[in-house]
Amino acid sequence: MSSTLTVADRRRAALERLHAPDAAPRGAVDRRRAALRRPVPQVKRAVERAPRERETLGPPPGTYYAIAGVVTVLVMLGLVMVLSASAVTEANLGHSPYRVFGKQAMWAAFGLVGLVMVARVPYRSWRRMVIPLGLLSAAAMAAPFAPGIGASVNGAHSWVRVGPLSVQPSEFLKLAVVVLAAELLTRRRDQLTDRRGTLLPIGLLAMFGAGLCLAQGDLGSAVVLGAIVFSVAWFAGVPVTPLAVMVVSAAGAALLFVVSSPRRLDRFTAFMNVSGEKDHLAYQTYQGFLSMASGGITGSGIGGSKGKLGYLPYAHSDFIFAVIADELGMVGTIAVIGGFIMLVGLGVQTALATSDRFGMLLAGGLAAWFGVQAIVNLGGVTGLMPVTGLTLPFFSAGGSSLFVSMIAAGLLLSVARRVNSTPA
Amino acid sequence: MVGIIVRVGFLQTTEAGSLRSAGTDQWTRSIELPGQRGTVFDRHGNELAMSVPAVTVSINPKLIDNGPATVQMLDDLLGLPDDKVNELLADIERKDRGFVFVKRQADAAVGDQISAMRLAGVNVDRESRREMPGGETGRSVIGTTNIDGVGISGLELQYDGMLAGTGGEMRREVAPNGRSIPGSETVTQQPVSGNDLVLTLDRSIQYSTEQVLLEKVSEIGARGATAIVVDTDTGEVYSMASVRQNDESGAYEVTSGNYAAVDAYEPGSVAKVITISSALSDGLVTPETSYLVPWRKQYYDDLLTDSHQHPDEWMSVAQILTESSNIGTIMVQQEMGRARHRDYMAAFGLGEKTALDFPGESTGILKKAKDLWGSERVTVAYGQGVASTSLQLVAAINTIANDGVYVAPKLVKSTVGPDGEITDTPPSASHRVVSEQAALQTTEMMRNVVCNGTATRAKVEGISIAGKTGTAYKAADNGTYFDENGDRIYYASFVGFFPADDPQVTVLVSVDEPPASTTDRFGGTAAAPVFAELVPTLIHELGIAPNPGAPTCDAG
Repeated sequence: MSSTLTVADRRRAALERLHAPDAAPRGAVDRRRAALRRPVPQVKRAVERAPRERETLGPPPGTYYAIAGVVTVLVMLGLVMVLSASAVTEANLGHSPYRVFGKQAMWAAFGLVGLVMVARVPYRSWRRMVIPLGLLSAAAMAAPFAPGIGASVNGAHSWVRVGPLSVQPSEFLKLAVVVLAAELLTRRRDQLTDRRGTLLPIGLLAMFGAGLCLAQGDLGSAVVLGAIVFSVAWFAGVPVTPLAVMVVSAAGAALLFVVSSPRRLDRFTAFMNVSGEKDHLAYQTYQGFLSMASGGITGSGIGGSKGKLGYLPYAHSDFIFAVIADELGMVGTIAVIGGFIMLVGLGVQTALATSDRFGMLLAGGLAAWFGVQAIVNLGGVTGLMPVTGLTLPFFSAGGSSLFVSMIAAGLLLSVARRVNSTPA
Repeated sequence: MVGIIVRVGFLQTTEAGSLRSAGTDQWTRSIELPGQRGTVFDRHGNELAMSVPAVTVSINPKLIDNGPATVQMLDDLLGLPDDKVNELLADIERKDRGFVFVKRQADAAVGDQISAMRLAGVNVDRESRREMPGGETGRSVIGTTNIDGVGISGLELQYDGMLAGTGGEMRREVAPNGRSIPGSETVTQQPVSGNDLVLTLDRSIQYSTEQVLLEKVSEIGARGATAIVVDTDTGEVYSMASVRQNDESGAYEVTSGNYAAVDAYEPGSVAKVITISSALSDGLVTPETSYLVPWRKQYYDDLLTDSHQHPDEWMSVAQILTESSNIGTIMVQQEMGRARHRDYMAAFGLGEKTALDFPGESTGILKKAKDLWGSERVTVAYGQGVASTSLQLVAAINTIANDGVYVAPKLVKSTVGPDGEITDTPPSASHRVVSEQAALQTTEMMRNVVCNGTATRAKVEGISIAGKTGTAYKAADNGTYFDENGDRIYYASFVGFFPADDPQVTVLVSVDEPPASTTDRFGGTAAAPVFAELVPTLIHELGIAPNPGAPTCDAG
């Protein structure tokens, strides 16, 4: 029976279970309405006072191992593909063929350390860091505009260069927004329809985060941020009407952003006419098509892609999927997309299974992040959506993207590890 | 996510075909691999013309970042002219062209150096360069190839189909900057080398012939000269040289055109050999037959004269040839009639291209007897009113040396296939023209020409030589025999063969426009000494030993 339930049904059930101690088990809607009028200060206080005591954890659940396995496979495959996709162009530039790969491997090592640390630390301790986290990441978003360290890539003013390192602060902002939204909606568990207390702050969070990304000219990240906030809100049980308002206004803002610049509009609409614009606006997409087509069912083999020789721009970062499809064929594409589907599924499962509201919202937001970012990237590469310059998590070359993705995976693991532990 | 899988699935299967071929077109280039052009050897296997590896250096201005540095580097290695440097810099600045030649036919070693630097936008492509290891020796005959290695003149043109290899094809994968991906080159079709040509030319003789001509023409100030040395028995051409004063620089040089086969001129007195040997062959006259010869006589519209004034005297046929009497030769010609004489000239090979069929070869002019006009009808007896190339003329006179048998001249001795297989060309066609006796009698007369006649300067100590001079009036471009100053224009020639008792080689030397006002204008003074200078070289190179007891001038 339970297998036929939709995610929405299961979410409702999970919410009911979480609120069982203080809500009449009469049905989710009734219970939620009732909860609105009944503040639960003691829970809040209990959370704030969460003692720093040694956890006692049982054996990790299967989802924990599954997430770890999927993330490991994605990162390892990503490293191989980054090497394959970047070696020739780097060598042609007179660099070491391993230059990009070396950086990526270094970030993967940092990411691994971060992942393990974050996974070991109880995720609830992040609640105490929401305010500094939010302020820091918002401040970091201004850094690309600072003279000397800011850098613009393809019209997106979203990079900070410090010495040999290039960092995209928007990646860290995504992490911060997940935590912030989860924290906010955990606190406001019982005032979910309160306009001033809940809906306005959550709306502002989305607006502010996405607005910062748009200010950098980075539509892709803005979409992901919006999607994160939306998902967290949905998991939290925010009613349909405010969610719909949020979606409509976000779409409106995005549309306005695109239409406001003719160049942006041209590039945005180019995906609808790839073969017509193949030499100009849709050059990258068209070259991606050529690479993917060249792969066929079984692929041209690792190292066999021709597009990465320089025809396909950003073959090792934004368009790495095209190289994967080329070299590993349909087998590789199904593995990659399947990996993301599994990861998102495991994230959602974790969210629904967890015994703690913050953990649930965190896991839900993280799953949405991975899923939406993968869809926006893959949609762009496959010509189903406009190309936004968003990376493919775990795969694309780019230190901050890989590092933050792995931290996020660590956070998800931390939740998955503790699905059955009661809030301290 | 599912939508994306479906989309990728379509891209990789049903839509893949056209995209894949578009991709292949984009990143593969096919390059024609030229088949190595065959080598041209002389008869002893010395290379006269050969292809050596070279490179074409070109740039794609759109891909060059640091224009000045790149051009500076190319200039250092290739030594470019200043205007080329400026042109390249301008092209890189504008970036409106995708391909600009920097240098063609550059040294392969320099090309390798440039390739090794792997500069973006700089391409080095292999080609070959035609080189003549012997310098310009024989270039009039061998001819030239264009910059793409296709024969455009001379033997290079005539035998282009044989020399040229069959091109192969190589496919390679290229990066967007046009640089090929190492290891991606696959030869889809192997090129096949062309055939080598082994010529009948002898490089030493060819060189000597050119040098003595250059010396002579620059010494006397003639316009140019040609000379041909053929093997008497086989018709094989040992050397065929053409030199001429360069109109612009005034320097004398070996010409690129083979004027010995291409230019026809009126042979003059040399043709008396044909008239007299024909009459002898027909038994109409003997060497002793005598005529009362005036120094001048009216024929048709013209009063024709001998070269010098003399009283009416009885002259034997032998004397007529030795003293080169025009009127006497006309009398001999009239014994056989114009038609018969014309048939003989044709049999001697006049009026028709030789078997060489050299590119641009002239047929000369041999009118039918009924088409001759006015005094032409008789002047053809002494070589005015008929035109021949040096090649035709040497083959004609060689008939006398070869006991009356015409043997077609020949330049290609054999061909060597790409597999090394040597194929000899068939022996030259030959046919009898005059009787052996007539040939021997004519030879004896010609020996006397050298000993006692007009060609004494062709004499060489220790070997008997038969020969005949010719001092022809050359038709100017204006259709008369006078230049714009009203001066005569001459064409001085000498044809000889030796040893007279057993001829081995026949040599024709022709000097074009020797100075009209000096005594150097005659065949005996301009051309015969060149012959004499060549003889020792020929004796040495061909190993010709004079027969002991052979008649010499002193004995005769």
